[in-house]
Amino acid sequence: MENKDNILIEIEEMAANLSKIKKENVFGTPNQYFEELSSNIQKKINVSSRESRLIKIIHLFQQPQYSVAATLIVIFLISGIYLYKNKQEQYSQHKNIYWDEILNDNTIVDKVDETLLVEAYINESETVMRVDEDVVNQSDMSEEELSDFFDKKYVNDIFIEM
Amino acid sequence: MSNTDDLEILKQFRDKNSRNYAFSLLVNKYKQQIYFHIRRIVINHDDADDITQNTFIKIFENLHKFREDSKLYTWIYRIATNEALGHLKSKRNRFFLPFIDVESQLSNSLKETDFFTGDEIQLKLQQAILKLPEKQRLVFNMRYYEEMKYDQMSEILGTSVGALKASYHIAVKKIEESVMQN
Repeated sequence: MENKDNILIEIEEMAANLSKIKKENVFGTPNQYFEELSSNIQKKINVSSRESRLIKIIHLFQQPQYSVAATLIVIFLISGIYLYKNKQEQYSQHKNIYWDEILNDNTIVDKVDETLLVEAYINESETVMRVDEDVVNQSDMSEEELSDFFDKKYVNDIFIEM
Repeated sequence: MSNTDDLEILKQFRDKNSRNYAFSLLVNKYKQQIYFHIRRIVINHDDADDITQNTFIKIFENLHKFREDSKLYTWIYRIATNEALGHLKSKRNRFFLPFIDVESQLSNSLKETDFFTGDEIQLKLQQAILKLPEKQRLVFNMRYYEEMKYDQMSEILGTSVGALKASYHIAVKKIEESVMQN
């Protein structure tokens, strides 16, 4: 208050005409401006502290030892990914070639002698039939028992085949 | 609030648990004074709003470094003044305008601003103040409107009390002359 009075006296002494103009604050603000100002400042502080954490990390990587380490890690990662992808591609190419070769290669089928194959099949069937005849001839079984025997035998064969 | 309250705010700010509370006390205590101090320098409300917010962010980020070599009040005003003057400087550099153009731009914006509440004579007074060199304008506003003591102003502006008194005297004479001419 003392200072306020001093200022009024001072201005009257220095500029009498100016002292006649009413001293007032001519700058207004929007409604509720000062009420909202505090929360606006707090919001900006939260954003700026998040940004400053990010800046700290960036500054950290600007130091030579950290930037070299980071570069090496990135190089290792990229080469690792590249090598892995390369291996995968090689493997899948190899797999495709292998199956293509098998599917397109007629040499195996060509090598099979169809006559021999048929003969082998017939021989095997004859052997089975001969064995069956031996069973019939040498057996003491009655006709019913023999019929049961063959029924069971062929039924089993069918089930086994299935 | 007295200076003891500032010490209490500082004490609470140094404790991590009460830091945010202490800062909200500080903002509530100084927000109006600082806003109007900045507004008288930059005139435009939006600019003043931005600078006020930036000032308090700087205060928050640097308050832990405050060593009580000066009063908290003085330190806060110094940051606000530097921020506001820095804003005018960057405006000049941005538009390659000489000193007088920025001030006349501010003078014109006085009439256009939605938040100028003065009458014709008050407008003339403000236009006369804007014709002053930057330092004299600052000294006049701080003494006449903000009713600061010369020793407080001396701490904020880093200028001797004698030089401030002389600046104020010259400023008052120039303003009176300008208002009377109009």
